[in-house]
Amino acid sequence: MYANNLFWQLYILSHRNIVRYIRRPIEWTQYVGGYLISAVLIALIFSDIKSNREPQITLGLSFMLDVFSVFSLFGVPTRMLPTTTTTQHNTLTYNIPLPTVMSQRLLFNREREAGAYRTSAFYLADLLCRLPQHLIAVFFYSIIILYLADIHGTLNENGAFLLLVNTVVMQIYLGINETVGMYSCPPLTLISSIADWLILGACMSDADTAIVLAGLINVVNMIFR
Amino acid sequence: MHSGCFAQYPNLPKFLIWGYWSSPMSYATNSLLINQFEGTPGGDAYLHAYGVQLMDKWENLYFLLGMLVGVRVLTYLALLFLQREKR
Repeated sequence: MYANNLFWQLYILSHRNIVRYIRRPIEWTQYVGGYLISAVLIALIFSDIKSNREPQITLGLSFMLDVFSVFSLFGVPTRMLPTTTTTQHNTLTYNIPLPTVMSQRLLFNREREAGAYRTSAFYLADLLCRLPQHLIAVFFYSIIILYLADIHGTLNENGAFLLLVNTVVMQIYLGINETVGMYSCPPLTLISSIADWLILGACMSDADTAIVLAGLINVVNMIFR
Repeated sequence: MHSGCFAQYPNLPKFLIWGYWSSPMSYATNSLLINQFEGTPGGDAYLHAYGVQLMDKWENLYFLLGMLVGVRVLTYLALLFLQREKR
């Protein structure tokens, strides 16, 4: 039995998360910053799409929208950030912020064992408090691309759908990131990474080798298929 | 690698089909392409040629939502059952 009901636990934990975000804004600003930088990059790459409306270009844009929305999760380059707030996961110059459920795992375990709150309250509070920053990031990401890449003409009535898809994709990869980190076991890493060449990242000991190998396989696939 | 951009679905080797169906990226790209081309002149033929229009855009989105729920449930189960400290 717990001293307080679920909603009170949720309120207290949400309040604690919000205070933490206010004290350490780098934890959420790098998500938003990464998305805005990605949006401008895509917009610059595909800025002439209206005059070159070939299907292949649109295919590339649709793919890049998703790819960049995933890579944006890695945040902005390490050198632009204080290293105390993030954990270096690979040999690249990017820092991947630890998901809250992982970074606060020890604290969570001890507080729960002490009977302070339910697991569901902790997880819900984490999801609810991070949702606004994700929605803000994806919203501006999609809006910048829609207007700078000049595809709003054809996506005018369906722009909301694009926003929705980007939001869901971002949440999926955040979820995969968390799940892989939580289980920390190779089989699950493989299962959750089968989506793309990330499977190589799961098999290799460092990201640089995985990226080189993925590029090679891609080239071979395109030449000999 | 096999989400439908570099190698389209009809051209994928059979042993890589599982990668296409298990990739969130392929569902997302498909739904965005259908969103972009469906109903436009020549758009449907293009979608068909690239093997995109196997499902409509909302069905693709439902698959994505299913994956989202799946990974969230897995994380919750990990929180619930793994690394619980023993007294």
